[in-house]
Amino acid sequence: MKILRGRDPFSLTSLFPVAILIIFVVLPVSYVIIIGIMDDPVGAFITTLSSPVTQRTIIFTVLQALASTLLAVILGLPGAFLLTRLEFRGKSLVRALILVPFVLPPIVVVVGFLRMFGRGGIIDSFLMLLAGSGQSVIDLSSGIFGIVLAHTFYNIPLIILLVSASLIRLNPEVEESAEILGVSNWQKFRHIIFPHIRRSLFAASILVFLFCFMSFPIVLALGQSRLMTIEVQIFHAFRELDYAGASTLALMQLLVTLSLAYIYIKAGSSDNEYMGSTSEIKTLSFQKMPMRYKVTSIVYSLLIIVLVTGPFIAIIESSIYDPYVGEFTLRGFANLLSTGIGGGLLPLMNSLMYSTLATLLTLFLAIPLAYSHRSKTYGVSSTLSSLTLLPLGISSITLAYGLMIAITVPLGLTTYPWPIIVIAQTIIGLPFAVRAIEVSLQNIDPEILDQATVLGASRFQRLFFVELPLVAPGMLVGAVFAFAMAIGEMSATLFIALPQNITLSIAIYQYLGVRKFVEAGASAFVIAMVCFFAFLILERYSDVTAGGSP
Amino acid sequence: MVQVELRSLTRVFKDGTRIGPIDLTVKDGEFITLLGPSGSGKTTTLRLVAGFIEPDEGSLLFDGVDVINVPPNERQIGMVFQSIALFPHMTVYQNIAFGPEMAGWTREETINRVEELADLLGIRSLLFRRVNEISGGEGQRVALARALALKPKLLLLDEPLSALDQQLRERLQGEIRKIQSRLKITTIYVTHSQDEAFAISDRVAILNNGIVEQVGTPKELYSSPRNEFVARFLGGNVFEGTVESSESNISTVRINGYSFRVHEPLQTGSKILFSVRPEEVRIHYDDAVSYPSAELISITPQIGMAKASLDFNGQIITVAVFDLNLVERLKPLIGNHVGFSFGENSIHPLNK
Repeated sequence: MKILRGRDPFSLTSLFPVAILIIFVVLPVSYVIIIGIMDDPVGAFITTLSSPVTQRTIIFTVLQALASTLLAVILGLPGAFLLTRLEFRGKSLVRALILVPFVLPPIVVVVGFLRMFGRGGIIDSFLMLLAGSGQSVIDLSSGIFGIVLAHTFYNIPLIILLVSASLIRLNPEVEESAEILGVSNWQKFRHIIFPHIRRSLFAASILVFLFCFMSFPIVLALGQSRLMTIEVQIFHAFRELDYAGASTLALMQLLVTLSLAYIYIKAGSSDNEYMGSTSEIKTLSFQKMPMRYKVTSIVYSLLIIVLVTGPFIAIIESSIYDPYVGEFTLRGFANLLSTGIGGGLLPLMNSLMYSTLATLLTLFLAIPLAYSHRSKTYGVSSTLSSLTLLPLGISSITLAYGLMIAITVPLGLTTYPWPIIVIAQTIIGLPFAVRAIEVSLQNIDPEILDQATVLGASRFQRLFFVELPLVAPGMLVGAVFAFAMAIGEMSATLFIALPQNITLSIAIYQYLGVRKFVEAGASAFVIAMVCFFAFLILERYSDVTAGGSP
Repeated sequence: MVQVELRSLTRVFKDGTRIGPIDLTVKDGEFITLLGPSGSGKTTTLRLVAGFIEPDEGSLLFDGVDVINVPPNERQIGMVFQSIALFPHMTVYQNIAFGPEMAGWTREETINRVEELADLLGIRSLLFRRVNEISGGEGQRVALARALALKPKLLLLDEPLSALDQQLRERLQGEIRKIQSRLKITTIYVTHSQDEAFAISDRVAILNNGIVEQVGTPKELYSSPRNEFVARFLGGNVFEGTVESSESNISTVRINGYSFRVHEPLQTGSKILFSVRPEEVRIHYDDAVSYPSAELISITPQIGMAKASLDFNGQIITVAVFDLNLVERLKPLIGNHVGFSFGENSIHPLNK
């Protein structure tokens, strides 16, 4: 007689999140594809692809993504080296702070960008003062230049973090062996260091390209409706009821993004060569550097400080400074409490409600998913894992579009779409939350759980007194991630929301459109603070980087 | 406390690894060690006893009662894991008190028990430290105290000392044995170290490929290994030969083309397999003619002795040399042939 024991109690409960993912991700996206293919398959493709607008969109999407990736790599690579090799005071603070841009929502970045680099912005005013001119001298925030610069700002930290994580693992003895064999610095880089970081650099570049390729809020706000990415054009096509066109574009984009996401996961999963202990990494103090290196690294650091921290400071300034009147005001914050038309209270309340609900739903789905990833006894685990990661390779607009045509419209929710907003926000944050919880689960020694059992703890006692306390930090990190991503989410929310459903992120976009800069600034400041607080919690409780990369 | 009987316990895993059938009786209050190379099934056997792994066949009796269907948390066992597995989010006190608290002891009973154990193990001053603030040796004591908190009938220890340095390990071996004798708790200990097993145990069970090769006191195992695996695992030299002649307790055995005199009546013409312990091999440095000869490869000094290695037509023979004068004489002879023989009553016939 055998009794059933040791079976994972979460295996059945994970069926629920799987069902949710199938209904709200697989189904809508398949629906989009089916519409794209079935509805006059050849005709729609030819019409869409032969349109000069679409051709311009595709070319622009690829070019801006390439340019942004290239610039982020060029600007990020030296940073990765400095952060790994240079010994300086406050290094751990810099390492932590460099993550901040990454947790900022795009629309918030847009506000900072306009204020820092835009017409009449901080840099422009400074140059106007220098030139003694009343005319605007420079506008770095609009057009392709602004878009690429904003994308670069966003992704430099990603390059720095992912590459320095790899550099730190280069066994110093490998480098020393090369030095003893008499190689020059360039040869050392070419034959030792570059081959070591190649894989992580490639993975990071793919990720950056993927983000830029799917970029929506930055392009929408800075492109001034002249420049469109595929994502933006899908949005417009749907608004103009061109479902066939929207689906064709979504299908094309999906093929690219899913392939890129697949390549990224493949490239990121096998980066374990030349493992060295991280503590014995070779470092160099600033004083001992040759003069030209000193100058270069100071110039570089200044550039990065302006580019990365500038917009953040500009957000603070723009929340209290009205550039038209030219005076400091608290009007922006007062607006957040105003209930009238265009007032900020409704979006603020909406944001808080949707984000809270999305966070709860995320936890509800992420915990069983993370548990089922851990149990290796079930062959479905890898299927589950790719199902959870799926939202990473699906653009927010495609997802929102799918949810609209496959769920919202058939269910008659078009006049009442807020539950779909919550679901979209949940799905977009889910991969990050699952990853955070999974990491904390993996860190639990299974013998600890057996130990609790031997000491007479029942399954419930074990879960409650041992397992949950150990996973709690991971859950907190997951929840914080979910909340920060939900409150900053603009793409899918804008796609789905009716006027009564607008969130703070959408409000910012609308304020910018009607040039209510200080209202936009104050709203952006609130979201930035939420994200900064989230970042503090992440720093305290996790060693997972925002890239979710191992 | 409890007598534990493993009767034909068998478990076959998905990957084809097979454990058992294992038959082993651990007497009430006995300290028994499962000894074997890695992958021999020691930990699996321990986890079968704990109840974390279910056997496919066989029975497991605690005082004659089959406990196969009793879940691990009701078997009244204490266990120390290889990784120590202290609860990282609790203090030392909370770790030790975990069992009593889960069992619903009163606060006073729990405190008394924790303090009693803390005194027994000398960790009273650590009680309110967090577990990341104590050393490896202290962690072992805490883990042992925690395992003993519920007054278990059976104590299972899975290589608890393997992460410690040699000196600390030896000290803790002594302490574990002392506490076990005082509490008279039936104990199953797992290790891959022969020294540790022999130093600490009443009896040792030698495991290989999932089965028990031999059970006995350290002395029994050492003086009469039953088969080739046990003999080799305990450091013996194993020979195979044919009996040439045998008369009045002295036989001649032919091995690798040489004739050996052994003090044992054997059947002429039969093939035999036997082991000779390193200290029972004699080296005749000045006479490689009247004795079988082998090349002296190396001499390694060890505490109170030296270990010599001989190459006997490709078979390496280990010899323990206690005579330090002999060691000095042998040193210049490295690379040359020396004679060797076996002492009286020194061969131990082995089962094939």
